[in-house]
Amino acid sequence: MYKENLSSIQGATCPPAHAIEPQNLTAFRLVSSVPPIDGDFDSYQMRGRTRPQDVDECRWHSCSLFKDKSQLLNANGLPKIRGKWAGIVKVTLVAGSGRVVSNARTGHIDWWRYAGYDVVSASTVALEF
Amino acid sequence: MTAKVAIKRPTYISYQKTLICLDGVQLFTALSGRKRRFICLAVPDDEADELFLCAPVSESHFADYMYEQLDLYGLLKSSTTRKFYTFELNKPVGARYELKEIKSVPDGWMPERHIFSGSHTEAYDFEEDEATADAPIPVEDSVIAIDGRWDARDLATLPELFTDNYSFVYALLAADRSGRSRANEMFRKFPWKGGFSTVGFYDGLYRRVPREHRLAVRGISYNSPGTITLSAVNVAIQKIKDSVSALNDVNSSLQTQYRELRDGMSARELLGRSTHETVVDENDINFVSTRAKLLALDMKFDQLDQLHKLTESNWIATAKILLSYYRRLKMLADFLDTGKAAFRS
Repeated sequence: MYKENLSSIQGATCPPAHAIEPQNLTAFRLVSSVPPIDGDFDSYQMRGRTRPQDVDECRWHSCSLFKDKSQLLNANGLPKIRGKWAGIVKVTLVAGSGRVVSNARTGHIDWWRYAGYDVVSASTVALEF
Repeated sequence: MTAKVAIKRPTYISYQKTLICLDGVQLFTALSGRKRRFICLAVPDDEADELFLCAPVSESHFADYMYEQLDLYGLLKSSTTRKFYTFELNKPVGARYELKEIKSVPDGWMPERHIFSGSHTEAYDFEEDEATADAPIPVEDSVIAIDGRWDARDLATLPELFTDNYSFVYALLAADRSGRSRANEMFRKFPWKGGFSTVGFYDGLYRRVPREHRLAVRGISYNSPGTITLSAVNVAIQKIKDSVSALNDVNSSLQTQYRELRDGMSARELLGRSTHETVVDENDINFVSTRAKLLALDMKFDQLDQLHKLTESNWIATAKILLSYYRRLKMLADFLDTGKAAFRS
């Protein structure tokens, strides 16, 4: 059902019970190519990044998105991010795209994508670096 | 004869809290064995895939950063020992990491300016942080430059004008930092009929500021120009300074906005009676919440959410308190606008 295999995750249900199907939720993400490719929306787990101990395994299997483009523009000033990305894309998530958990305090969105959802077609380039 | 050789013990840190996670961990806090705080930032390196730059930082600077009074560049640069270290996240030593001191920070390793804690991807709570939960809120000196002819009344008036504003901003900061702040009850205790309610509210807030955090006059150098040195929680002073600056902006329309909110509430008979006696409908709430948010935004008052939480999401009480804070801030702003006193940056 989900693009990534979540069944191997130990502990609580993944995505969590409070994750919802989005209704026209606009979000932004840094991408390595413009136009983006499907791999630009892989989770950190898929990318082989080391998971910090205070971020649970389920979130590590999600695609990280931001409500506000300016957050990504700011983050682009971090030394390991700077110069690495081709642009920022805007994605509109609809019911049938997957499930999300939005953090109202940080504006960060965890998105567990359904298998077969064409995210590349659902995104438009918001900014090219 | 054997020469004494100083053996430097390695410094170890433990991972504490992720702050930015974007294509992997970018920023986190760590603690040394002695609970000294380090801030650690991912840096690019051709050989080490998960290299981090770390610096020991004071709780005062860390609080300034978390309250967006200092950017990430400034926080790293504030290294308490002027030393910087590196380590690799994928090479722990048990549950810790061994830091290696570096002589200088290579080009391209510092973040750009103006990256504030608002860019974090992970929520942070002081209350849950073992390094700060019981640590004192940092108190520092703030200097007010004075000029012109000052009489004894002026010298008494300025700290007095600060006190209500400071107690209010401090109460909201303390509530944000710890849900158990002693001043929280004050926001629900009063009926908000005006007059004595308001005076009692600010008096109560002042009395609930812990002694070590109270606004204190540390020194007066009476010359023209001279200075008054206040000791206070710096973050609170900075917030007051930002709002005063907004009020005294030559193009400010804040007085009009204040009047429109107050008159609108008066016309709806929401003033002069307690919040329990007031009957409100959806239109009243829409009017009050919209105007209150606008007023707060333009007066650079960024604690409206906290205030609203403390009034148990009662927009009428929130707006009444905001109006009363505006009036006190205006008195301080008017005094500073005479040119007889100014914040020294």
